[in-house]
Formats: sequence, C-alpha cells, structure tokens
Amino acid sequence: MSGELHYEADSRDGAREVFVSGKLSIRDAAGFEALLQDVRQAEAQRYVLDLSRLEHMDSAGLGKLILLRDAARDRGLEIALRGPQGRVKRLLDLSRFEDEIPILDA
Amino acid sequence: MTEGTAAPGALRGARIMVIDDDRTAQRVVDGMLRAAGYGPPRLHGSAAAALEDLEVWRPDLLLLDLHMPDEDGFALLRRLRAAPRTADLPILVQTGSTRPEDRDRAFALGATDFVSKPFSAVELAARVRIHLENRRLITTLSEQTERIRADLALAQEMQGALLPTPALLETIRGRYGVSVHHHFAPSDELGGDLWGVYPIDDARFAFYAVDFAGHGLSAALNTFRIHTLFETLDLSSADPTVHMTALNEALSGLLPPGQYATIFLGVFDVGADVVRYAAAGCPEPFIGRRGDLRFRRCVVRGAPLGFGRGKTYEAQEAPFPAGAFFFAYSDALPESEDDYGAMLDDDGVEDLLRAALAAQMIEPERTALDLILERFFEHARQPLGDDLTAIWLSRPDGPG
Repeated sequence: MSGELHYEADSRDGAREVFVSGKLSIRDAAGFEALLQDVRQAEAQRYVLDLSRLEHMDSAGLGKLILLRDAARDRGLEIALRGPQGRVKRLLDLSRFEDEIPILDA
Repeated sequence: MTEGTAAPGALRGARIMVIDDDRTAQRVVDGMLRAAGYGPPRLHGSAAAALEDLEVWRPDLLLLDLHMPDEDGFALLRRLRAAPRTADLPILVQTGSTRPEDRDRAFALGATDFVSKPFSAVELAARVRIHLENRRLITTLSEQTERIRADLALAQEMQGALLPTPALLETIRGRYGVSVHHHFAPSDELGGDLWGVYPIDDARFAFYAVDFAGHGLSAALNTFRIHTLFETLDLSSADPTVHMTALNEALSGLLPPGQYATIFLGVFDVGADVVRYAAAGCPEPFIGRRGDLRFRRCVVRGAPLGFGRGKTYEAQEAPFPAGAFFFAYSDALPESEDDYGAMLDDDGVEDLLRAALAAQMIEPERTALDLILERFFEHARQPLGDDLTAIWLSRPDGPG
C-alpha cells in the first residue's frame, strides 16, 4: 500500500483533470491540503477529479470531498468525480454521493 | 546588572542552593546572585549537609562545586541524578579545574551546565537565568499536559455517560424481550461513535447508531450534539424517515463544513415482529435468525447527516420475529487491516457473522457478538485506527 495522497493534473480547453492516487483518509492532511489549493487556484471552468487510481478512502475522506465541492462552488467551478473503483465506489454509492457531486464513469 | 542577565520578576523567588567548601567562594557567589536580583541562596559547605537539606528544601537550581572535602563532587552528581527527586533538577557545575576531561565527565554524569572559576557575575547570572527559565517552561508545559490529560479523562467519562445505562438495557429486555449486547472502544481517548435506545410504547422502541467521520475531539463534540438532538426528538410518530429528516435538518446547521455522520435509525416493533428503519451511508447491518445461516443485509443507501438540508430518506422494513437477531457495527470492523495490510471488507464481516452463527450452534452459551469479536481481534492489527462499535440485538426463540 502506497499510503499518502498524490495527484497529477492536466489542463486543457478550460477543463482541469486531476488524477489522485494513494489514500484519501483521516491520516493524510498535507496531501489533501495541496489538492484543496489546487481547486482554489484552478484556472478552468470544469474540474474533474479522477478517482480511478485511488486505492482507499475512509469516512473522513468522504468529508474531504465535500470540502472540495464547497471550494469549487465558491469559485463557480463545475466539479465532477470520475471512475471510482471498488470500495471507494461503494462508499460513494452508499452515501448517495452522486447527489453531492456528479460521478462519471471511467 | 546587564540587561538580559538579571532575574526577571517571575524568577526572583527561585530557590538556589550553592554547595562549595570554600567560604570565600560561597560569599562571592552569594553576592553575585543577590546582585542579579535573586533571593538569598542556601549555602552549604559539604555534600552531607546539602543532602540533608535537599530532603526538606526543594531548590529550583543547584550550583555545585566539583571538589568537596567529604564527598567527591562527581559522586554527588551521580547520586543526585539517581534520586527521583533531583533527577531533573538543573545542576550548574563549577570548578577551578580547566581540564577538558573533568568537563566531559561532569556532563556524562548529568551536569546541566558547566562554569570554570573564575567566572564573572554576568556569566553566572546569564547561566543561572537560562536554566531557571528552562525549568519554568518545562514545569508549565508538564502542568498543562497534565491538565489536558485530566480534561480528556473527564470528557471520556462524560462521553461514556451518553451510552445506554445497564438499567435502560434491562428495561429493554424486560419490556420488549430484546437483549442488547454491545462493544464500544474509541481509538483515541475520545471517539465519534454513539448509539442509543429509546422506548416509544409497549411494543416499540427506537435504536440508533451514528458514526461521525474522524475521531478525537471534534468527532466527540459531535456525539454530544446528536445526543442532545435525540433527547429532544419527538418519537411519537415512530417513523424513522421523519426522525432522520429532523436530525439532518438540525445537524446540517450545526456541523462545520466537511463533518457529517453515517447513521442507522430503526424502530423495532415486537408486536408486529418487524423493524422499520432508515439509514444513511453506514456499514450494512445484518438481520437474521439464530441458528439460520441465511441472513440479509439492511439497505443503507442515503445521504449522511450533515451533507446539507433538504434530504429525504427511504423507509425500509425487515422481519424481526421471535428468534431474530440484528447486528450493527461501525466501519472499523470492515476497514481495519490485518498484519499484511488487507482489510476484512464487507464480505469478510459476512464471513465472521456466518462463522459466529455456526460456532454458536456448538457453543450456545456464548454470545454471537463475543464470537465475532474474538475472531476479529485474532486478525486485526492493533491498536485499531478507528473507533469500533458493535451492537447485537436479539429476541428469544418463540414457543415450540
């Protein structure tokens, strides 16, 4: 297990695609803070958070996604999640997360 | 006295002891300390007299001359460091020797600092001040740590008091014939899990289990919030979806952004032999019958409390006849890792339950919850990283 949260980003045509990997959980504060800054500074209309490489997310991680949604809303940024897998997908599903942030297939 | 070396107000009352067999040297140091603004130091000419005095007068700092007639200063230093009362006392060693090996040896034996004679009033005052200030900071810090520890212990006790009392659980058993077994273990001093039972009428009682994201202080404060909400909740409609909506509306205004709770809220009806419930994002509780390896998962799809106002919740229903059990647990059960980093996951919890039900057929005197937790703790890496709550409700088998 690789542990901490990392991301790689790619911007084009007004859309920013961010691929996160590792774990989105209660433990990793620094990795998430960087991601939150990325949302706050993104020069785009559309922000897609690709979760297909995210290994693990706990309940605190779900709360962090809510914070990302709020940060995106503050900036008038359209945010979406993409391609969650396995347990991450299941957690999102059980909490009807598609009502909070649209979830796209991979 | 030069600015920066004189005793600041807070240090003027500091107790300083001087051990030196040379009377003249004693008087010089005494004069320097008084001039720096300290009160009169305690002066001793021998280790024996000093040791006796140390029993009653607790100095904040010791000035020790290494060359003493009755006891070698190095031996005294060793003794003082070995005694619990003086183990942390700042000891400023002074000597006429300029040999580096004396210096090294003094530090090795636990001297806090070293001054070579002759030293100036400014040098002595500066060193004394630094060590007294350090001591004061350390004392303040350990007092604060102690206070926080005491506060946490109190908060933990208060949080424990939110849980159902044995008397209430006895009432549930007597009035509804439902036994409640439970396990509750916060991963920190304070946790984000809470559960409770509330009698409604002679056939029905409400049960809830919540898990606030995260653990520690902020999650714990939220358990107090929701407990208060439950205490004032109108349960007369006995409609879980109504109660859920009321809780969500109230909590969505109270919780800071990013904080939320998953929840199971059920109304158990032993007259109609059903449980009506609503749930939101919690791990799926199991419902089944003792001695029957076919059981079902509850439907828990729903927006957790605190995601925002205006959410609605679906009403669910499951049979809960004589001989039935209901098993709810927090996500520490499926999400705790074993020594290889593998999680039990939902299927693993189901396997635990199946194994426990099977084992219970052979050992009927043991509770299923015990059997589940026993197997769980055999594999889970400990301490667990999250709060663990597990609740088992059961009705006795019916006649025949």
